[in-house]
Amino acid sequence: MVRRFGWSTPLVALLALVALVGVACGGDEDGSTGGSADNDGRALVVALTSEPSNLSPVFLDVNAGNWKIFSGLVAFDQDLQLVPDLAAEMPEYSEDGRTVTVRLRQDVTFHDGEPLTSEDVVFTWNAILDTDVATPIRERLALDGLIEGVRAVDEFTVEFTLSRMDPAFMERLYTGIVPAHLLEGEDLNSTSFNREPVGTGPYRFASWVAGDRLVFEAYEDYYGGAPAIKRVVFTFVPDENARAALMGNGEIDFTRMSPRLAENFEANEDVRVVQVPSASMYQLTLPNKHPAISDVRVRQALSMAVNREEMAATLIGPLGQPAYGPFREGHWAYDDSGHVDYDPQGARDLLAEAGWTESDSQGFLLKDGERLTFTILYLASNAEDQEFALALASDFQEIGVDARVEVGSNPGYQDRLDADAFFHGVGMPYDPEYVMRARFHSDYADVAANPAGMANPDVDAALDASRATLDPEERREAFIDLQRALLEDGSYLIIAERPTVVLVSADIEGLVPQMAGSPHAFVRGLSWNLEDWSWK
Amino acid sequence: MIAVVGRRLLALPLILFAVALLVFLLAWASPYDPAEAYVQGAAAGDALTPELREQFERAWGLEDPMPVQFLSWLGRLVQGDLGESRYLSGAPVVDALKDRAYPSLVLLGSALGVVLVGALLAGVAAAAFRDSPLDWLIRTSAYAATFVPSFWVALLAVFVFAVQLDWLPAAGASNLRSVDGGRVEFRHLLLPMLTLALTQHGWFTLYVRDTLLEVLRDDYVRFAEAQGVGRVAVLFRHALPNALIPFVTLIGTHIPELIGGSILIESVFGWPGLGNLTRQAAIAVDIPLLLAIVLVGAVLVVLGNLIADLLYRVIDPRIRESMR
Repeated sequence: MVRRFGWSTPLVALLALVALVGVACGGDEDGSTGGSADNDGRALVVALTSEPSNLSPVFLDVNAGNWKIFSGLVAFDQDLQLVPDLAAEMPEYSEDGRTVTVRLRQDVTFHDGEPLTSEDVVFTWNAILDTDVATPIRERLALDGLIEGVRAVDEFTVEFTLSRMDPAFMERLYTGIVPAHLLEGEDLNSTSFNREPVGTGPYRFASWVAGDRLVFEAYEDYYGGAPAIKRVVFTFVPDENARAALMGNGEIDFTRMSPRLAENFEANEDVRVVQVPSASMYQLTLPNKHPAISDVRVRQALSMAVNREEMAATLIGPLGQPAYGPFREGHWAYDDSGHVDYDPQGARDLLAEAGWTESDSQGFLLKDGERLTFTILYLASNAEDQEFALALASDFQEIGVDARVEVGSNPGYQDRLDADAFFHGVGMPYDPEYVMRARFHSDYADVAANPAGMANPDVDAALDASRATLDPEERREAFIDLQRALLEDGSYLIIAERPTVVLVSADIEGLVPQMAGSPHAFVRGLSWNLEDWSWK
Repeated sequence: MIAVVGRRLLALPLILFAVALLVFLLAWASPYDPAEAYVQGAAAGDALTPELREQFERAWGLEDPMPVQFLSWLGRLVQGDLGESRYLSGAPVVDALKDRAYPSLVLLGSALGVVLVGALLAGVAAAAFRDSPLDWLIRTSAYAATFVPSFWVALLAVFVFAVQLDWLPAAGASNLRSVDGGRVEFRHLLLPMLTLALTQHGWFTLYVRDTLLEVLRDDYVRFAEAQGVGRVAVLFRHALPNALIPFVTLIGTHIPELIGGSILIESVFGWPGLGNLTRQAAIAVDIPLLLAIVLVGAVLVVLGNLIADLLYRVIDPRIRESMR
């Protein structure tokens, strides 16, 4: 009944399998582990929080410039002033502001060696305007009928015709230019170009092993001069602790980190903790359709009840900065007069003035027998958001407001914003004309872009004034009016700056932080001049 | 035997059809919207306007009613075309699967090897020293491994072995700095492989132990013992071979568990395999990609079971006899 050889076969097969796998994967263990004295040819290894899906600038605007494969007609310098990039000199608006003529550099080649001409620019912008191309970029750039036409005047001159004057149009020209000769006749939604792009930027696409790494190489014929760092490797690590571990043992050179985890690296000599000035702000949206919150005095009282200084210090740490308006100090439109003092007693007085005079046995304020109550929603994707939401609710309870906290599901939370408050981080450093308009103008009160549903004539007037002129000083005045009007309205309580902290290898030279927006993938605010970096 | 194989293989298309239909229905009923997921993924915080949604639905062929979408997908599948991934901006699904297959096979294969060897050793030890502290320890750890969530074990492993002790890399499958390194390196494989094996070995270990104890009670074992054959010889020469027979089938039926476990493990360790891709596809509501992954998984499960059945017949003459 028992056969000797019967049982040994599977066991032997198993052992063979294990041995085989061991051999198959154990072969290569000698890869250089970094930190070597010789940094020549060393790859810059960047750990991103998530993998991109598409590298074409037609699909990704802000990130695209970041990828450094592409370049646009204009670029931002360190102070976010526009400078010519593919353009030979800074383009100018015509007398009526409705025509912009761009003369191109004539020494630019795509990574495949083909020269850049006006055809490429026309092709790129027509692709962006083509509604058969499914891309969020039209919304992102708030184009909305702005561009009437793009035409090639000659081989190196392009003319944009606008439907109205727009002082922020020029800025949109940072969008990367794609090569017409490779994309003509392709379906842009599914072309392999999206994952194997060819551009004019300082780095060229080398390889992409999906889920593992994306590799760029220096483009030696770059019109701005070949970059010093010859190879950039992107890897994708969602977990922050894992990224910290990789940074700690020198396996990566660049990654984004929360301020609190970044503190652990302050004493690490191999790592620099860089705080990138962030245009992103933590903001509480107060729903204007909520019966009690629709009263401006209630919103003012809520604003006075928030202890911003303490929240920034305890929830963010030493890098925390309280904030009162949508612009950061250092932004050209920033106005320092806006400030709300933490004043719980003043808040109570203001609520009493608004009719919240009674209170129940638990100390919550009543009006006509009803509590002043609302829910603060936050999204689970950011750990800090929950802590801020809880701190806000606790400050509101302090003045007798029954504020609760709930995690919102995404998608889904959008449907609740008529009745509930919403806490999140938001903001971009670019021209407030199109960044702020969608957030605050009453035209957008019924769409998710202005979730509070704010319709304030002073806010609208300031935004409208800011687009009616090309004069920078007049525009600055308009945005100062905007900041004051926002503070008076109180539909959006700005609480603190949302810091962007990056860990970078101390071996890198040439870091000059620029102001960044929402802390996304490759932190534009730090990598904006990647081509000028070098190894020590 | 051939009839058995033929019958199983004939059933395969039916099984795949049912699985595909189920996935399609689940995705259709899901509150998650592909266009919204794509826009949020591309630039978090962007609002999806109705015009933009319509443009996405047009580009992805989502305007048609669900049954039409399903049939057109099925029609392409019959011609061997799995379609294009939306999440991967139009890349063919087949290419995406090919890219990811190798790291997953290495991880799953090596983890399965570790599970089997480990479970055999631990199971035999537990049975040989029944009711001893060793037995107790093995059983407890096997139960714990079965019930503790695998992602938690994985996060713990990263924290202890990568962050605190700094022995092994925290993520990825190979050295990022080497220019021409292999796709999978042993140093990177160790942690995910051992974690996956640890969280999957419970059933196997308990199974080996219990079957051994049962077999040890059988008459022929007692007879051998009575004849004066030593305890070790009885265990290895008589009891183990018989206990191993059903063990082989367990491998086949366990493949779905292993694949499921690898989704979480690969995600935590940033492993560039199919498990990680599954999570990405699910978050992006990328139906063509999800469908393809699920179909590949279903094929593996059916084939795994089939192979286990066949092995079972090869090993155990009694079953082979009854098949004739």
